[in-house]
Amino acid sequence: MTDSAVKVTGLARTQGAFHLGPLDFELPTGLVMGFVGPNGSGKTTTIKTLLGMVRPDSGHVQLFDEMEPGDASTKDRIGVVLDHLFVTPEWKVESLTRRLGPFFSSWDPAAFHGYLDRFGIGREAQIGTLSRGEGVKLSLSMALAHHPELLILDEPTSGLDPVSRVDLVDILREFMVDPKHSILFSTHITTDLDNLADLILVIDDGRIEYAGTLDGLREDFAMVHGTEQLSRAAADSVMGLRRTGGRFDGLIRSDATPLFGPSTVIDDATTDDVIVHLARRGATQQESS
Amino acid sequence: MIGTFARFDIVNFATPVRRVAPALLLVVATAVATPLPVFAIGTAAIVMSLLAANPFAADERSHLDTLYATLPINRRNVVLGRYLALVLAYLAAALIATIAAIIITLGGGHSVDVLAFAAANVAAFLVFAVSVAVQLPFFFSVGATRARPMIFIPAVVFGGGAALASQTGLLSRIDFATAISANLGIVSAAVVVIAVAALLGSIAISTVRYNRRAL
Amino acid sequence: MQIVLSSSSGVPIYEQIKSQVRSAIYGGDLGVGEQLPSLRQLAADLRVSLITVTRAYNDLVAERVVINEHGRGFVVVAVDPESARAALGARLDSAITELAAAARGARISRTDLNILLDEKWSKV
Repeated sequence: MTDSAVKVTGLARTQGAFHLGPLDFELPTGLVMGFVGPNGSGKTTTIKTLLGMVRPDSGHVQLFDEMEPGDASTKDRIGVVLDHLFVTPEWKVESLTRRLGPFFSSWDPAAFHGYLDRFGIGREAQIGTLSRGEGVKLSLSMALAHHPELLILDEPTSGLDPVSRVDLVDILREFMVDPKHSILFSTHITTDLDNLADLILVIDDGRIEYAGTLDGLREDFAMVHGTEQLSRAAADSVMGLRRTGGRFDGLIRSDATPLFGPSTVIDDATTDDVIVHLARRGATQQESS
Repeated sequence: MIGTFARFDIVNFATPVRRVAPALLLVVATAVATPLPVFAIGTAAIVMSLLAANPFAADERSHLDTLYATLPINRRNVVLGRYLALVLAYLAAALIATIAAIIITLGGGHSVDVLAFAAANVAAFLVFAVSVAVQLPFFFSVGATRARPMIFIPAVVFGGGAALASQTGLLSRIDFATAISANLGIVSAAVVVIAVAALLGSIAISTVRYNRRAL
Repeated sequence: MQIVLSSSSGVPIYEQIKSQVRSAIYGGDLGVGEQLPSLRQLAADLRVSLITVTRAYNDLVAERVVINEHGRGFVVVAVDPESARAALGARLDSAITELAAAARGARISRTDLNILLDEKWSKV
């Protein structure tokens, strides 16, 4: 069995004015990693490098310990769900088996039909007539039908109604019962992470702000609010600092706690707090300069 | 893998059959309408050259390049598979044109000039091969939409070449008919070699371009 | 053993898992030598992440309530009678408190309560 499903070292890519990386992270086999960050933070570009869709300017991506992204045998072991369908709208759902099946070593028509039935997607349906939720479910059915070891999902639940979202996550849980399976998914809906992700990677403006467990995230960050006069060091340590009236609030790393006085309240930060305030960081810096 | 992709591609752009019917009808109509039924074979070449852009346009419309990126096939084999599919499609069209022309010829009470048919097929293959060889690297590099003007390059080249040849009287100065029929075997072989070389060179360039392309 | 989690109780999920496993063991639902559900199956059934279940099980191993047996998974070890008695006593205590409150709230007399108790006693 492979040790790591995904291992990224020094990954960097520049696209116009956007600089991604250098990124370093690892998804050990058997775990679920959630990739969170505001729009434009680099999540999708990172996922594209894992799939071999874009080439990094520098750095290395290794899948299943030693395999290269973009290799046919690597892709045989990966199931992909993106935020848009990538099949022809005129095709019928059922035709996917005869069109795509021959490419895979383990395409399982029975499994494909099983997922379609479970999701209530008609086999005769034309793909273009499916709703957004049905489209995601079809993508997941396609991804799982060839028995992959790694699932990579880019914003799979965005635009889904709550019922569909739970259905989707339940299927992902079933997928994880096999210890050889791993999942990497990006999302900006942090509730998706709470009870599914083992590891979380927070990315903002092309850089990793946090990599570790959810519990660790709560330990590493804190929310501060109060009325004291902030020292320069304290003010600089607050991310997404907001001042209204005599009050201030924002996000800090826990090791900055000593910079604040006893009247300042220090609370646990939720994952949303972290993302929102990291994203606000750029704006705050503009205001103070 | 190459064959798998070629079959996938052919199923994609050749079904439902009514999609290719107009092109085939045009080819057959040329066999019927023109004085030399052999012209139908040339029509097949020109029609297939113009249709070569269609699979790329369909890829763009339906994000199929992303699909190919997730399928267990590397980009080089996608390129090879696409070329193979186009060549097979052309051969099918040329075959239909040849059969239609033979039928019309025999139906008109004439005998079939085998040498003329062979020469027509060889020439048509050259036309098709060069057209495709010129266009496809652009499509693989930037997609059908941005490379759309490229479709007309082969037409311009051949049309311009023919116009130039007739202007300078090149065709009348060399007695092509005698020269070719005397050395049909060698000339045909040379033409096929040139056509295949053009395709192979094109494949090499397309592979490099497609490998570099960011999706 | 059926574990039921509460997301609003304020108690972390891994703590809830631990205390419910302990109750099951002290109460006799899980016997010595019996296997706990596999990490992954429990994570899927409870709809929590693998890491949460792993933490709960590892804590229970540290408490010497279960051990991780190679090849078999997590297995219940011999129960310490003292702590078992204390734990069961605490469980009985909270159950009686709740029963008294429920009966009072429904305005049921002690006599009627005894009748209800007799009914249930034989069925459990």
